[in-house]
Amino acid sequence: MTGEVPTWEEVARTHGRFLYNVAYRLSGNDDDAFDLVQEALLRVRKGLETYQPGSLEAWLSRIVTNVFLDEVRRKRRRPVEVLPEDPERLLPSSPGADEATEGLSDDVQTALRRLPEEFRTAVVLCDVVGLSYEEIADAISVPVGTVRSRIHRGRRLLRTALR
Amino acid sequence: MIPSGGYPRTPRHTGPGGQHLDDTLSAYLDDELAPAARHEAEAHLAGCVDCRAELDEVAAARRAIRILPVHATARPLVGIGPFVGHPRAPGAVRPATSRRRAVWALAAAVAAAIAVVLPRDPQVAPSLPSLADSHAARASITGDPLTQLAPIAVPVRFGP
Repeated sequence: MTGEVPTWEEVARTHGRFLYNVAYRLSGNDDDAFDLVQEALLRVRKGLETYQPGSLEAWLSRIVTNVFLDEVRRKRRRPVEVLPEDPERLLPSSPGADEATEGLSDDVQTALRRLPEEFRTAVVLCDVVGLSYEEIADAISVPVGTVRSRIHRGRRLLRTALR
Repeated sequence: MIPSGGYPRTPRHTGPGGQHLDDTLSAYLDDELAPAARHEAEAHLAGCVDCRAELDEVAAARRAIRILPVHATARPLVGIGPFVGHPRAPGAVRPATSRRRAVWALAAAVAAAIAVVLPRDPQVAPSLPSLADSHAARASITGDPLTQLAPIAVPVRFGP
């Protein structure tokens, strides 16, 4: 789709799955991922008028990441108790808790979810989305050197958690 | 969220080939180094056991994330799905934020647009089960989340 401006319906239809996967890896749970995608699609709809044809997935990643970071900031301003119906946020995933990921994938997802948000964001944008360091720096408004440090430290923490 | 004292950093100290590579290792794995820096890193790695071990560690973490399967959802991503059939415990209802209201507004706008092209004044209301079946079947065939908006757009009149 590079080179032309897609319609919002095309984005929702053809990139919804991509957006959802990124949102899930960023947020760590299905409920929040779902909400993130809803908000991201709203912003996509508003932003398509000014979208410059290029890497659509990089643009979408930036949008869903900004939605995620906005939500993180909002929760920090207004901390709330973890809701009792979301026990998976507190506990390691149990067998059958998530049919889409099993075994090792569960362990990796759990370790990823437990990374500090700033490390998780950098690692997801690099290793799940496949953005370059410069694209990540642009997406989260930090210097490239900070991106490099966060990715490396995130990976080291992840590796430690997986031992 | 950052613990007091910050997260542990890779200790920096000078080895036989200069400073340990630290986060240069990830940049090396990601092919983010300029050619000269890459050659320097490779020269250091050739003589530094610690950095080779750390390279293996971060490479394993990198690989583990990259082979994660795409995580999908069966719920429609566009439309009325997010807050339907998704029970929360009593008393734990999230506050209606402007974001959620905006989502509903968008869903309503899309539904209204779809309603324009659908029959406006049906003489006989379809039964709810048949309506649900037809839309579930259509959605399962097309895989198109947008079609799942259709049920709320049909002007239904029940009874005589």
